[in-house]
This record gives sequence, structure tokens and C-alpha cells, in this order.
Amino acid sequence: MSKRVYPTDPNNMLVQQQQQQQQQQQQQMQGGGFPPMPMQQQQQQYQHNQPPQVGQVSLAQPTGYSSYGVGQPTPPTTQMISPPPPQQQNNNTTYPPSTNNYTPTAPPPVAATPTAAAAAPTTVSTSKRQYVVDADNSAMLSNAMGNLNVNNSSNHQYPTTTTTTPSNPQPTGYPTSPTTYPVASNPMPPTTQQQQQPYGYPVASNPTMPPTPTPPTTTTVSNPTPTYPVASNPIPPTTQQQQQQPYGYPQQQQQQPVQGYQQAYPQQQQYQQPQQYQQQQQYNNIQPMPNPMQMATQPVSNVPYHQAPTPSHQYTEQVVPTPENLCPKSYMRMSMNAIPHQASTLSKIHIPLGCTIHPFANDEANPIPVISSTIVRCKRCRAYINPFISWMDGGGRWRCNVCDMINDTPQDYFSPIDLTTGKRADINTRPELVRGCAEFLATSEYTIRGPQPPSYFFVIDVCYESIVSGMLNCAIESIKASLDNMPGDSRARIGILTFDDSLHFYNLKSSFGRPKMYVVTEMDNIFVPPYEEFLVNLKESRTIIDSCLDLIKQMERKTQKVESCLGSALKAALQICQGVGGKIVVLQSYIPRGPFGKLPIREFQSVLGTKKETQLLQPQDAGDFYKDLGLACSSHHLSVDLFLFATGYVDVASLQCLPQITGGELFYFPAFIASRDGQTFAANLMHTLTRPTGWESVMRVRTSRGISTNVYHGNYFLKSSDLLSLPTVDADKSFTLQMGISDTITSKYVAIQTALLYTHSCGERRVRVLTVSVPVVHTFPELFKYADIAVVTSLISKMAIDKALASSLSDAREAIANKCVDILTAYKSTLSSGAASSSSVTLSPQTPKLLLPESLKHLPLYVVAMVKNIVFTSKATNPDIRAYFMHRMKVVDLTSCLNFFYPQFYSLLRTAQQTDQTTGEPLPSTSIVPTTLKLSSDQLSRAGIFILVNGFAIYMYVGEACPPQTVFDVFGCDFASLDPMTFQGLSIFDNEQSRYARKVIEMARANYSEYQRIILVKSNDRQLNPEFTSLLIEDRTLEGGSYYEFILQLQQRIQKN
Amino acid sequence: MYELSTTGFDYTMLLALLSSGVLLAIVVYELLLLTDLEGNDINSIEFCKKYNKFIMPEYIVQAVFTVWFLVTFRFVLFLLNAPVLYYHFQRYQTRTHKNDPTKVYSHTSKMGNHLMLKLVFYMVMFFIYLFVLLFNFFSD
Repeated sequence: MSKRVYPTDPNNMLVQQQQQQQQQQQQQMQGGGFPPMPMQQQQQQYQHNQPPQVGQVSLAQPTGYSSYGVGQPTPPTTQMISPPPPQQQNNNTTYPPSTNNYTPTAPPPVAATPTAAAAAPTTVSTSKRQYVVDADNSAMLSNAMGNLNVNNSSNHQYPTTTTTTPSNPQPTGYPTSPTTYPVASNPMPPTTQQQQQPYGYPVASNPTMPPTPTPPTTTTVSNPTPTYPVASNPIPPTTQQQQQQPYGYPQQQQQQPVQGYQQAYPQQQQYQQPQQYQQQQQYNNIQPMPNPMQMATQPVSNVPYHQAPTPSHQYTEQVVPTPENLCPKSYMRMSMNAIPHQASTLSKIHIPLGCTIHPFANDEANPIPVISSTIVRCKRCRAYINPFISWMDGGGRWRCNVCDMINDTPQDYFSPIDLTTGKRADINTRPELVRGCAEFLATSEYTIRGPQPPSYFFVIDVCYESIVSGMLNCAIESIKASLDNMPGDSRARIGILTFDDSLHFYNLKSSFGRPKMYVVTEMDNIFVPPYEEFLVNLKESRTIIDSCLDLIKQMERKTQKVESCLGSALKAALQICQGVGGKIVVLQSYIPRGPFGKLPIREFQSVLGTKKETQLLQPQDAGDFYKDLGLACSSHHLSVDLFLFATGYVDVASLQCLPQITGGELFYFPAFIASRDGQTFAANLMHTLTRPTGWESVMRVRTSRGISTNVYHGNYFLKSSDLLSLPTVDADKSFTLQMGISDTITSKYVAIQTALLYTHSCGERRVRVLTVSVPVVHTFPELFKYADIAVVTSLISKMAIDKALASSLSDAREAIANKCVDILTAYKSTLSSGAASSSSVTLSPQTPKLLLPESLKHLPLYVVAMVKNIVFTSKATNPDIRAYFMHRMKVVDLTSCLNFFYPQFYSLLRTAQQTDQTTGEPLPSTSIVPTTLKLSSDQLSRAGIFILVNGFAIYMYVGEACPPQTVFDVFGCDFASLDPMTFQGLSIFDNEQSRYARKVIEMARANYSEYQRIILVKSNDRQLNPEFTSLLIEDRTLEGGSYYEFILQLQQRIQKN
Repeated sequence: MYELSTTGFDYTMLLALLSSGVLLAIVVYELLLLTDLEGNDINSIEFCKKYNKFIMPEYIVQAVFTVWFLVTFRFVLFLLNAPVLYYHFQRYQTRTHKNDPTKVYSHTSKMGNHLMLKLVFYMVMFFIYLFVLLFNFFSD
């Protein structure tokens, strides 16, 4: 289940209805319910800044690959849910050549063989392409591209392909002229449709889809016969096709050298990776007809590469970024998908430039291929080879897209360039040249020592409180449960240390039969008994580890100690683990006392709400111990995961240095009680221990000249100016990079490449390379159009957290609001009068003067949400909790970050409307997708049950006027006997209402890696009810005005400026 | 105006001259460290270890002489030094005087500017001390 990407737009239902109406109108206008022209559909996909209709959607749907539409935050999954039947037909009518296999009446165009056609729909790789070009709109496109300053540089190579080339530089999601098509008038470019359009792309015109004659490979399945453009050009009516046919394609003579190359360089075959290309090979086998092109052109044997008719020093054209070749957005996502060429422009538009990097994202739709061939890198900047480099001298040399250095291609990596496509002939066996994400198996030069075994060292506080709260039991049970699923199989290592006012070491040597315990009471000078068996192989010592855990559980029952010397325990753990590296998991119940790392309790009640509050969020001086310790851990490849369970003040702000520097993770359970929080803790601990993890890793981001990397956010340590040291890295860590423009950029594209070198749990050293190429534009409207609200919001929040720590919370709140005003003012001032109506949106009829770019129309909503969020709120908040969320917000991925600011709000009751649209019968509970509601008390009723999901907890609101039968159906008891203190979760009852409620909660949980416990809020609860209503951020609350008030205020401020 | 009214060999000035020479040396050393850091020749931990060693001596020397100028009624020299003393005091007070290896990269350019300003200041002071010393020496 992929993650949901977005919070809902409050008006999403309305918008959707509107759009449906519009669409119907449009269809009527075009007569006979004919579909909008494909180009329009196309267009709308780009501009489809449809508010993320998450609620309806992504819960139920694995998020498909969304179009790369910039500023389109959510995959347009709604469409997937309900593609109206007429659309399907449209598809057939509008794409006659491509769908001729489905409509037998249409004559098969050129040599599209039936088998190939049959094979085509099965391919997934081509299905995501969305742009479609015909002769009519090519001129328009080229205009648009002119705006973009993207050259149609391909013309010199393909002189005859004039009708198709303009589509070439058309990056999906990148500019097309904004005025031609109304924004989002057709909300239905369903992904399902896309999948039915495998032929949707002009072959010759698309550099990513080379019609390589041989070896045909997966991606070429859609072009079964290598050279026939017509079959792949969906739009033009048949007459046009015929016209195009003679000149629309590369001549056969041009094919000749390619044949020659293939003769001369047969070794390309050996690079094929059979597992990955099985499908393609099957296709090869079943292709019954000889390739007409091969028959037509006799192979010219023995033509050496140097005599090839390619002019020397001729570049292949620069590869245009498209969704297919860019790194998927789940791994790396830019705040602006078009970059201004100079710093002054950037500072003028005020949109923060940056990207989020999520190297271990769980993206099942886009797995990263593992490549074992030579690692080719630029000599100068050390960038890795990627799809956006350009080839010279027929493939003999390549130009680095990061630093423009011209490099020689290594002998064993050489492959000739296919003249028809401008691509290497072996491109399909080189996934690293096809897509901007790849993982190379690193050679020994990338290692400084043998691969480290996955190692987990537990440092457990066994003080009185740990036992009383039930933490210890809970922890031991979950450790035991996860021992079988730890990464690293037979290599994993485990060690345990417990502490109160003394340290207890456990010798787990397998030959002993039972664990030996050593107690060290001397705390001033840490002494680790000189044995090496404190960190042992999990598999060899499995039984002894189990008995050791049991021992700890039984033995510590008697402890009454309240001293907790965390500092000493960590020092000892560092001594034990420093030779190995890995992870230290710390479970801590008290604020640390003891000789090392003692943290005095800071008085906070009196300073809350004042300027001094900031100091409570920063590490105190005594916390330097943890900073130094963190640095020491980081240099020994150790990361620290910290679980805090204190009842009282525990100084999260000081302790969080440890996970922050070492790339670990922080969990905080205020006033932990096992009966209430135990499940959450156990789930999180088990997740921490069993998730796929990369070890002893370093990450570096390389950028083209002119782009500077300013600040990184996340958990890391900067070893040198651009080298992030990450002792462990996993799916729950994301990094946000703030960038700037240091020089005027002269190139057409800038590249940003992330390289993460890590040790896989299986012991291989690997380099994960993520590359993004972004066009440089010179006009303001485009910059606004291609802004990405998700990353922009996340960047603003991270900058505001920095600001809060540097000055004060009120400054941070102000900075957030000012940023919004600045961006919108800049938009207003750069907007030309003509473009205003077509590309801008207003938020409310009452604020007609407040114009927003389509891409950023949710910005004010997020600003309101952020300002009222617990991270920045003016409400008096426990500094521990605030520091915890500040820490988390810097680390969590984009989805969690945005959903924390703007939580999802669902009704847990089925409504009458949720019936099958065709039959009118009520749908079974399992197939209804809940709708997200606007975060406002308008939506709330005392007669309902609602849940609010913010990624950390699920608040379940039960109204007192809710029908008793419904309450009984869902909870199995009546309203009065519901107790928030003991409520654990929904029990299973066999009725529709209960099934539906459980399904919604299950879906809400499936979207987050962090386990969310359910907090029951009864509408008559004096304590929890205000907490819940303060999460309804669109209302006026104590912390600030309502969303509507904010918009009015925004309009005023912008007009003033 | 006591500075220029002393006659004979002024030992205070001589010591001040020497101290400003030491301060200059420290600042130059810090600048060198900073360029090393920017060129990735040393890592941030090493940089901070080396750099932080010299911060307190620098502050103390500067503070001692500023106070000494006040005690010996050399008000002009005191006033010249006072802003820097205040700046150092502020840094010390807010605990920002020491470099934090985890944050050092985010303000290298700011640090460079600070160091350049300090270099100029100490150099100017050096020549003022020299002038006062020589003026007094030759004034009779």
C-alpha cells in the first residue's frame, strides 16, 4: 500500500462535481458526447492541479504513478476509481492507431504484428507516458517549448521528422502553453486510460524509446517493428497518418550503420540481464515475422566505429527529463520543477528552492534496479552516469551533465549510438541510462573495511519506573518477537546492556549455556569487562539471548532504584560496539542522572509563551555530553535510536542530539502506561528492528554549477561540506535539502544527483544514485506553475523550525505567514494581466483580488495549519512534546509531514449516499472508500463518529447524540461505558457498521510506518474535547483565526504591498 | 587622553603591542583553518577541536587589555576596544562562541566575514599601539 500523498482539499467534493459538470458540458459542446481531444486530456494532466482527493482515494488505491504534473501533489487516483464508461470509449475513438487491437474494425496501420500488439498491453513501462503530439499542435508545443527555452535540438539529426520532433523536448508535466487550455476542465485523465495507451508515443520523436532494431527489449515492446511511427502516433486521423508516413520517419539508409555496429559489437548481448528482461525475450521468441527493416538493410559487416557516418564531436541531443527517465518523485522531489536562471529571480519569487530526498522510500511501483556492471563516473565531479548525460563521438565519449566535463567512455562500457534514436544501441540493457534511479554494486574501492554485520545493541533502563509502567515487559516481548525477522540473516548481531545506577553486562557466549551477568558499579570511570561476547551473533546464540531476556524480565522485578545513569551506559555501549558499528537502541525512563551526561531539570512553566521558551527547545549546556557522544558514535558508524518514556520532564531537546547526529530515530511516549501505549511502543520498536536498513552509509548530493546546497534538514552529521554521514539509513528517514542559486545558470537543464553509498543488510556494498534534471526557465509564470506545493510546504516548515530555534516561536509563526504573503505578492506583481484569468485561482468569492497560482493554491491552508500546529502554536505546550515533534518534522517523509499539519478527517459511519452508482444498491462495507472532510467543526456532529488521522495518533470522536444502536454496533457497548483511558481499539463485530469502521482505521494505519494508537474523544469529555477541536484548524480557535479570516487578511496584506 | 601624555618608555603599550600581535596570529590561524575546512582538507570535528582551543585565550587577552586600559585611564583605547569586548561577551553569554561540529558548515561564510573584520580590527589596533608607544617614547 503506497502512502497517501496529500491531505484533502476542503472543497474537493465540490470541485469534483464542478469538474464533472464542466466535463459534461464540454462533451456536449463537442457534439455527441465526443471526448475532448486527446491533446486536451493531455494538457489537463499537466495542469491538473486538482486538489488532492486523498480521502476518497489513496486509501483504497495503491498510488499509481501519477503524471509528473508539477504542482500536482497527489496522484490523480480519483480517476482510477471511477473512470466513467464513456471515457473508455473515447479512448478508442481518439486513439485509433493505438487501440486498433481492441477495435477490430480499425485497419491495422503498418506492420504492427498481432503478436506484438498482444504483447503491448501487458507492458507497464510504456503505459505511463502521457504526452501525445500531433501535427496540429506541434507548433503550439514548440512555442511552449520556446518559452521554456528548451531547444528542439534534435532537428539536425532527424531532418525529416519535422512533424514529430517538437514533441521531443516535451517533458511531461513541463510547460505547455498555459493559455490554450483551461485549467483542469477535464478532471478525468485516468491512470487506467494511460495504461491502455501503450502506443501513445511517437516513436521517432521520443528519445527515451529508441526503436532499436535489435536487440528489442522490454521498453520497445510497444514498438514492435522498430521503425514505424505511425502505429505509435495516436492522434492524427488516418489521413494524416498516411501523409506522415513517407517522411515522418528516419530513412532506411540511416539504419545501415546501426546494423554495422551490431555486427561489430556483438558483445552488447552479454549485458542483458535476463531476469529483468524476460518479458522482452518472450516477446522476441514469439515474434513470428522477420523484421522488415532487417530485411531491407543488409548488415554492413566490419564497419569499425570510427568510420561510422556520424560526424565527429557530434553530441547526441540532451535528454529531456520526462517522468520515465527522471528519478521517481517518491525518492527525490524538487520544490520547483523548473529552475530560474539567476539568483535575483529566485529571490524575487520567494519560493524556497530545495528538494526532499527519501533514498529508502517504499515505492513498490518503482523499484530501483541493481546494476552490477562497471560504475562509470565523471572524472572531475565524480558524478555517476545517468540518463541525462549526452554522448559524443558516437558513444566514445560522454559529457557529464553535472559539470559539463567530457569523459572517455570506458572500453567495457562502450556501445554505439543508434542514429535513429540518438540513444545507445544497448540502452535497454542499461537501466541506469533509462531511469534516474539505479543502484550499483560497489567495488572494493568503495569500502574502507569489510561489510559490517547488522548489529543491534540494546541499552535498557531497568529502573523502578520502567518496571512499574510496564515498559520493560513490553520491550522484552517485542524484542523477542522481532528476533526472527531482523535483517541480515545469519550475520546479525545482538547485545544487551541494562542499567539503573549500575551497569549490567550480559555475556552471551553460546558455549556458556546460560548468560553470565557482570555488574559494574563504579560509575566515574567506565570499565567494560574485557570479554568480547557482549555483542554476539544472533543465530549462534539465539537460545542464550532468549534466556537472557527472560532473566532480565524476572530479575528486575525487585528493583526499587530511581537512579538512571544513561551517560555511563551509553559510554559503555560505545566501547562495546565501536569495532562493529550498527545500531544502539536506548530505552530510557528518567531524565538522565549520574556522573556523565546528567541533565538538570529545567523549569519551564514560568517561561512558556515568552521569548525564553526557545531555550527550552534547544539543548542545554549539559547536553553537550550527548552531542560529543553522538559525534563519537557517528565516527564509529553507530546510530542511536532513542525511546523515551518519562512521566516527568525528560529534556527531549537535549537528548534529541543523539539520534539527530547519528542518523537515528527518536520516540517519545509521555507518561507511558503499558496498557494504553504498550501497543504503540511495541509496534514501533518492532518496526525499528525489522525494517530494511542500510548500514555505514554516506550520502552526497552533487549539483550543476550555479546551484549551491545551503542547508540539509534531517538526521545526519556533515562530515565534510557536502558529505552526510549516516550510520544507518532506512525508509523512515528523509532529508530535505535547501538550495540556492549562486551563479547565473547558462545551461538548459540543471542536474541534481544524490549518491548514497551503503552496506546492504546482506553484506553487499551498494551505491544508490538518484538523478533529477530540471529545465531552466526565464519567465515568472512558469516558475509559479511548476512549483510543488508539497515540497514548498515542507521546506517552509523546516525553515520555520530553524527560525524558532534561532529566535522565537512567534518569529517563526510570523515567518511562515510572511513567506506566504511574499510568494503571493510576487505572483501578483509578476502576473501579466492577460494570463491572470487563465492560470490563477481564487480561494473564495469574497476574495476576488487574491490570486494564487494554481500550483500553490493550498499554500494559505497549509500556512494556517502550520501556525496552529503543535510545533509552532502559541498555546502553552510542554517543551518536551514540542521538541519531539520539531525533531520528528525534520525527519519524516513528505506525506507524514503534510498530513501532520493538515490531518485527515473522516466520518466513521457509513452514509446513505455510499451506494453503487449503477445499481443503486448499498455497497458492501469493504468497497467503500471514505471521503476526507474539511477540518472544520461544520463537519462535526454530535450524532456521529469521526476519526482524525495525523500520522502519530488517530483521534476518534464519538458524539453523545450518536444513535445507541450505532455505538453498540461499532464499539460493542453503549456511549456511557466507553472509557478513553482503557480504550485499546475496535473489537470485531459482525455487522456492516463495524466492518466499515475497522476498514477505515486499518487503511489509515496502513499509510504510515509509525503505528498510530487510537485516542478516544467523547464529545462530553472536558479535557480531550478541546484538544480535539483545536485540531480542526479551519475554525477559529484560541491559537488563531479561521482559514477564512486568514484569506481575507491575506488579501488585504497583498493589496497593501 | 592619558594615552599620549605619558612620557618615556610605555611598558603597557609594549605589552599591548605584543598581545595584539598574538591576537593577529590567532585570527590568521583561524582563517587558515577555515579555508582548510572549506576546501575539505580537514573534517568538521577536527576543525572545531583546533579552533575552539584558541577562542577563550583570545577573548581573555582582549578582555584583560581592555580592562587595563580603563584602569590606567586610557579612555580612547578603551573605547576602541569596548565594542569588541561586548561582542565577545555576547557570544560567550549565548554560548555561541564555540563552534559546534554539527552546525559549522551552515555558517562558514559568516564566520569568514567575522574573522576578516577581526583581523582588520586587530591590525588597526596594532598600529595604534605602535603609534602611541613611539609617540610617547619620542615626545620628550
